[in-house]
Amino acid sequence: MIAISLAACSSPQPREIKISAVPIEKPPLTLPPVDELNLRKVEWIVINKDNIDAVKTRLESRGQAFAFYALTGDGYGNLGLNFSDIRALVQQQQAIIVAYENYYKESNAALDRANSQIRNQAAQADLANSEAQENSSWLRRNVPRN
Amino acid sequence: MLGLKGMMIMGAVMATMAGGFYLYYQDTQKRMATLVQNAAKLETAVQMNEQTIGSLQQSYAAAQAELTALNTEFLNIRRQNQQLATKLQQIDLTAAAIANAEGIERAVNRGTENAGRCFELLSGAELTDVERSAQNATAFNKECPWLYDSYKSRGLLKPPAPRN
Repeated sequence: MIAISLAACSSPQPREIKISAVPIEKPPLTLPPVDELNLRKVEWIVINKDNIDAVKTRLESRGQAFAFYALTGDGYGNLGLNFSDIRALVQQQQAIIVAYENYYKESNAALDRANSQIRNQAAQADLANSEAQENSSWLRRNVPRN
Repeated sequence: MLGLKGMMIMGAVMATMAGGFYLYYQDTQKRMATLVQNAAKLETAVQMNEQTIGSLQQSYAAAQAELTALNTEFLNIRRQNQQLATKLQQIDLTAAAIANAEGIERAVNRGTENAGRCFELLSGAELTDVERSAQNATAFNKECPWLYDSYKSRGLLKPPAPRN
């Protein structure tokens, strides 16, 4: 009996598991707004073979030289389409930024909820541990500790 | 007859056995306490892992929802972008410039101004009084009428005047 008891005492003690669960606090992301556009006025002058003299007279009366950077009808249409494409691209980029913003906010809220639950569970585990320690032995209650 | 010596030996043996049992009991209780603690901690770890998985699933669902919303938004933007192409297909700009140079000049200048204004609004420019009082999308801006609904939903437009 003594041999059995001593043999049992000589086996290694079970290792106490330590769990570390520290919530990660993310720094808030504050970004500056983009610069507001204030576009300059662009004036188109439409010239055909019938009104070219009238346009020339009009420009001269304003003190402007009769010199143009010209586009054909198709060229003007293509320019408009190009601008429309760029505007669509800006809108798409804005939509992506809004989606990131929504996802970021949603993720933060989910992280806060998870951290709160982890803290609650850790507190419950600590309570359960201390209760387990208290109830593990009637000797612990009755025999003074070292 | 054991005698006094024998009784003392028996007593010593019994005392040793009792001490051994006490130590064995103490050690067993200590192990049990550690194991109970470990079990509680593992249970907590399992719950934390479940929380993490749940959180990841929520994040994935949120990402999917954002992706779906974004795809819908992109579809709308492409549709809006197509409007000008459709309009230009219906108009022969060269013929219009020959037939009515003055009229088309006014139209393209107005269109250019409106298109530029769309970029300004997209960059976050303040609305003008005319834009704020616009009663419909076309009156707001013919080149980007879809922005009207966005501003309206955000309550940035004046409410329509009551009909008499």
